[in-house]
Amino acid sequence: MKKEQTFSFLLVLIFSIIILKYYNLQIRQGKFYDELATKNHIRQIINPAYRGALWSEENFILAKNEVDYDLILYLEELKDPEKFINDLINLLPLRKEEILGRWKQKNLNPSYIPITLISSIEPEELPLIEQFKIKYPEASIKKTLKRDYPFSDLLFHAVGYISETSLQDIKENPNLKQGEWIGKTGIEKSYEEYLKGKDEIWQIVVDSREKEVSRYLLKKGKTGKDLKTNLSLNLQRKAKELFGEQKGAAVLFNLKNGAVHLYFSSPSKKIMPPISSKAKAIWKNLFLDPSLPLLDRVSQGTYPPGSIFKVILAVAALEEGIWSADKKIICHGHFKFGDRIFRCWNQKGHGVVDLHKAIVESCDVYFYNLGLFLGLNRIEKWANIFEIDKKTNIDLFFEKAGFVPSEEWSLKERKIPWFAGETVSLSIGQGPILVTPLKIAQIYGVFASGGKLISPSLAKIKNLEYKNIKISENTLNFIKNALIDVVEKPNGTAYRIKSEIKIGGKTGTAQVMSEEKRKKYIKEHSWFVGFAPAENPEYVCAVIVENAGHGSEVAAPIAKELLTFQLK
Amino acid sequence: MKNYLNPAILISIIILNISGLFFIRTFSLNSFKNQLIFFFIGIFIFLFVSKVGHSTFLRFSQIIYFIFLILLFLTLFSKPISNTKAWLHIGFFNLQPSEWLKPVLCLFVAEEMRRKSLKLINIFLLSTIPLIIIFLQPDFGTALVFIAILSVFLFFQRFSFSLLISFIIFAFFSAVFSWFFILKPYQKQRIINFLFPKYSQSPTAYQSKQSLIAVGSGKLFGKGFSKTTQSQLRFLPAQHTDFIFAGIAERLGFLGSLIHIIIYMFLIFYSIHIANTAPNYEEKILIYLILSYFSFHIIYNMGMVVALFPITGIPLLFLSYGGSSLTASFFAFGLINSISQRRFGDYEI
Repeated sequence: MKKEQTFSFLLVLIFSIIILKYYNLQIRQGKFYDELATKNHIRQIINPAYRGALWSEENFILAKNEVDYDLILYLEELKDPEKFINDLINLLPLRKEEILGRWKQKNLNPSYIPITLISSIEPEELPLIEQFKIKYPEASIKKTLKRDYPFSDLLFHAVGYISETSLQDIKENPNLKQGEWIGKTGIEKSYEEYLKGKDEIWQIVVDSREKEVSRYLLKKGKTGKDLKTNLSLNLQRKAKELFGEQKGAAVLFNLKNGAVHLYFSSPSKKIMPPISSKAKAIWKNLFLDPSLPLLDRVSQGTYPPGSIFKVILAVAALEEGIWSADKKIICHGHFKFGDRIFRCWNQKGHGVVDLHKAIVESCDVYFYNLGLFLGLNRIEKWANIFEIDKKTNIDLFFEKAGFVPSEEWSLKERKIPWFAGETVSLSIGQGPILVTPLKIAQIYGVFASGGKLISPSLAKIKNLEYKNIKISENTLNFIKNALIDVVEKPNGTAYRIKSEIKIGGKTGTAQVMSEEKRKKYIKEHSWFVGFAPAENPEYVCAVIVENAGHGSEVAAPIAKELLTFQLK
Repeated sequence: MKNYLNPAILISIIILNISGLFFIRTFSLNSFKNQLIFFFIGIFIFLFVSKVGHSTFLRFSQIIYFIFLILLFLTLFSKPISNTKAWLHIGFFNLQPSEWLKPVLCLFVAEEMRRKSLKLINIFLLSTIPLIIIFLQPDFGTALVFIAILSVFLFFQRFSFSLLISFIIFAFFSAVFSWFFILKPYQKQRIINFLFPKYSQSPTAYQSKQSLIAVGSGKLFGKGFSKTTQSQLRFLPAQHTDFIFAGIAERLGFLGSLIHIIIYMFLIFYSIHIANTAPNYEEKILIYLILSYFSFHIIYNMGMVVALFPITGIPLLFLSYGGSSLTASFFAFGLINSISQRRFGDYEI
């Protein structure tokens, strides 16, 4: 009976293995296979929400939605992905980079959510793609909403743009999906939540031949809200006209409510978001363009402030109570410190100068003396009271803070001690000190508004935010009057822009730091920051024109035109 | 009337068939109707064989074997269905002689063993004829079943070294020969898929994956009858034939799978018990041979569904859709039933 027993024993053994295998699959790995089963038959359709439009102050539409068509693909259905992708590239060789770029992201979405392979199908591509779809029913054309920016040549930097999520975006925010559109810069980014709304998501049950069996609404959509901005398209246009080919930035905001009416960075070209391969190529050129058209100079361009900075020293002098406004210095047109000679911009000299005259005529020698008297620590302290080292908290994401040197920084970062000669340069806003035009406008807003450090706002919905700077009224009035005299008095550096509208302000001429400085003369940056009407200021405006020469000659007339235009 | 029916055998078979019919019905009404007809034909065959008795069939086994060999040979000239010439198209239905040859071969071998008029080696060689024809059809799965029958046949003989060697050489050469001359690319693909699953992208790999998903997602209690996705949405291939058990596992879960396995095990071990208590050697060997292919079918199919074995056309007997295999199985268990009810010698010799 031995063989019969062996036979039975073998059968019992094999059946035990089978039972164990089923136990393993159904009990231990049941959940895993259950998920796979879900993936098999569930597809998601995402109907993108209407993205809120952006409006200018005068109700011009700055960003709107347009209907567009994408090619999408459900990966789960695809039997031979390599062949599919090769066929698609052969069909549309111009799209190769785009397709491969998106293909790399294919595993970011769960397989029941389609991936986008081609965005914005061109009309001439449509018949080719229709043909392709017959061969590959896994691919389909999806109606989407794309963004259109009718005035990107004027407002690219403030408005920003939206684009498809990148690998980086998805890594940072796992809620995002491949093929989803998000704001990348400007208002589009900072008001992403507000504008975007919520996508409507449908869950679709399909059979093995991808025929729809049923569908249900998984997530209700929500329409994005329109956003009204404070930006004035006409003022923006005016700025572009005034700047012409010159590089630089201009910003103007309301001192009563912080509303930014002008946010202009030059060069300002018609810029298409880098979405299609064509636009990407253009974008690449823009990126390499030495005039940096993509750079938002208003809040990301940092420049040495030049003479604009002098008022900070004046405030420090008065507020510290160690330097009287009446204190007089004789300016011979130069200042000797050690064996170095620092020149005043007026080589003939300003003669006897007090603090008021020093501001009005922008006497360098007076501030050399004052700066040395105050020392780096006090200068740094007062620059930081005006928050040069902080952002203005305008409603933009990528704003840059300025920079103020300190002894600590010098030792730690430069590995050399600060020396007094540098304080001399720093007194007239040269050396390692940087500010954005927006920050300059904010600082001068303090004098124009009676002590408020206003956080400017691009969107109407942003409430007015400001900080009161603790400066005595006397000091504020002293500075304000001096700034008015800069324009009003014949000896003022901006006298040439005097007009029927009373303006107060300050010119600046910032030397350009350059390695090649010795070999080649590079023209200075031309600054002007001012407010109007002078008695009861409504607006503050900062203008910088790069490599244009004296502030009084280039930047000041532009600022005057802009303030006049806005006040009219 | 003598009680010639063994209720344990008949009831387990009927339970399995009802379950099978049930699942076939959820797939398609037409298949269900066909299967129902074959079920009744099968029951009739079972009753007929039980009534007539196994000894009559043993007596005529040579002629029956010969008839089916001819039928099998004729399939080589038939119209292939999915690359295999395994069917004879007779009027309104297709007969698959290889299915019937399984029990018929068992009858033939058992009877020759009793008569002892032929040498063992000659019985063996005569038994390999269907195997050769099936290789030519080619039907890889059925060939495996015949190899299983022959192996068990050899297993129960007194150890013969030359027989063993010749069997191994035969198996080796037929494997090599069939790989190069007989197996179709899709069949080779299946074997490659099984051996190297990572490199496969073929439909077979897809089948295997979908089957695994169906079984696994059934979990403990199954998805019931209205909520299955793999079966109802037709991701599961061949769900009324070779992969019917995956559908059962999805709907009824591990508990349902286990119940089915237990019924099969009962049927097999109960038959072993009948064999071990059978009075004559040929009866015993007949049951063991029948069980050899029956168990092979059950084990292979259940294993194939969960990717333990490569996919090939081996149906789950009594459950899978298919007239020839169902009726042949009724025939085989009719023989076992007959042996079980006549073991006390109360039948005419």
